[in-house]
Amino acid sequence: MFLPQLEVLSLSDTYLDHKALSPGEVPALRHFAIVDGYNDFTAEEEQTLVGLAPQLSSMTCLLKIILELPLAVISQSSLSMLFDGHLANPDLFRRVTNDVSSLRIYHSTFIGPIVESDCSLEEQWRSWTVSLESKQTVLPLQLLYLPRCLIPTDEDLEPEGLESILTSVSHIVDSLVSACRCRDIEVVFEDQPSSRDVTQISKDFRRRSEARRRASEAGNKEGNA
Amino acid sequence: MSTDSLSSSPPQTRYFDLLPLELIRHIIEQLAPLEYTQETYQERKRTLYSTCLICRLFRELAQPLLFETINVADPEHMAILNLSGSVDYKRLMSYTRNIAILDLACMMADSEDHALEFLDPIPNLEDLRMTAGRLATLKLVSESVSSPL
Repeated sequence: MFLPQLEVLSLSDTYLDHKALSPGEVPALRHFAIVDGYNDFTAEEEQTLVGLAPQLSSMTCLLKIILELPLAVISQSSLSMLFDGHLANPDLFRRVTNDVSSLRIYHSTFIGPIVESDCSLEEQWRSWTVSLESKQTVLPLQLLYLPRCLIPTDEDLEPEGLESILTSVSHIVDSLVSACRCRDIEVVFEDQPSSRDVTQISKDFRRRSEARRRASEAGNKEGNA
Repeated sequence: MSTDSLSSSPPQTRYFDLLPLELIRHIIEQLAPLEYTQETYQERKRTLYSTCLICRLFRELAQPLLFETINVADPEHMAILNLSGSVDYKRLMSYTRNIAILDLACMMADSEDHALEFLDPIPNLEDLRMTAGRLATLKLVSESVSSPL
């Protein structure tokens, strides 16, 4: 397989074939997203990721696999990593805050697996706010993506109750945004994918990662000159 | 009315002939914008297909858009990727920029071919999305797909 123009690839629960996804087969690949129900990579999949990392501008993956990513991928300076954490699972973020500089809180079923929770929507958002407000937490986080629609569209809510929940959630998210502002974390509200055939790669993150890569390459050229 | 009077009447004006090609292309693109959802994908395809049937000029302009984005959601759709060989197929596939292959599991079989190999005849593919299936589910059936869409 030789796909000379392929620039954006998103795989969901799909095996990373080393031969098919070698840099020689996909030389123009810049943006890669992988959503995997499994919690680890096989040795061959790791090899695939390490091989692709130098040519990528952005990579998007689930927060839960952050500790499984090969060091050679995470330490790739030209590569911007975006991690997806489900709204109902702020605890996971608390455990790995030191390694995350860009995060997307999602509730769309078309980004990653849904996490079941007994907590109400307000409690879920408040829990994130508490994490980001806590002075004890060290946060290298620089960029936070939030869904433009704060309440999942598939949430089973009565129309009367919806308005009050939306008001309540909006207040909590306002506090979350304030907490981020205090810590110099940029917040971007973005529409999340509403169907399976739409890429889960964030358009804004894609643009930023390209700009970052160009700046990095320009810096390298100046350094060499 | 005599035959003479019919033949001497001015030819019917085709207003689209008066417009620049770029403008007509733009109008067609507005009919079927690239920003679509799973629900509107079929509608987009139907619109472009109907546009192709209007006249040669419209077909020339709409056909690349029709093949620009392809959603492969079942084995019948997969057939479109299996029609390699014909010159016409290669021409149509050269228009394709985006492919979403959904539910690979429902298209798997014991074929030795890899799903990505089916994308070989699509040289200009820029954006690919694939969902479902570990190693086994990436193996797709080639012999069971007999008829194109």
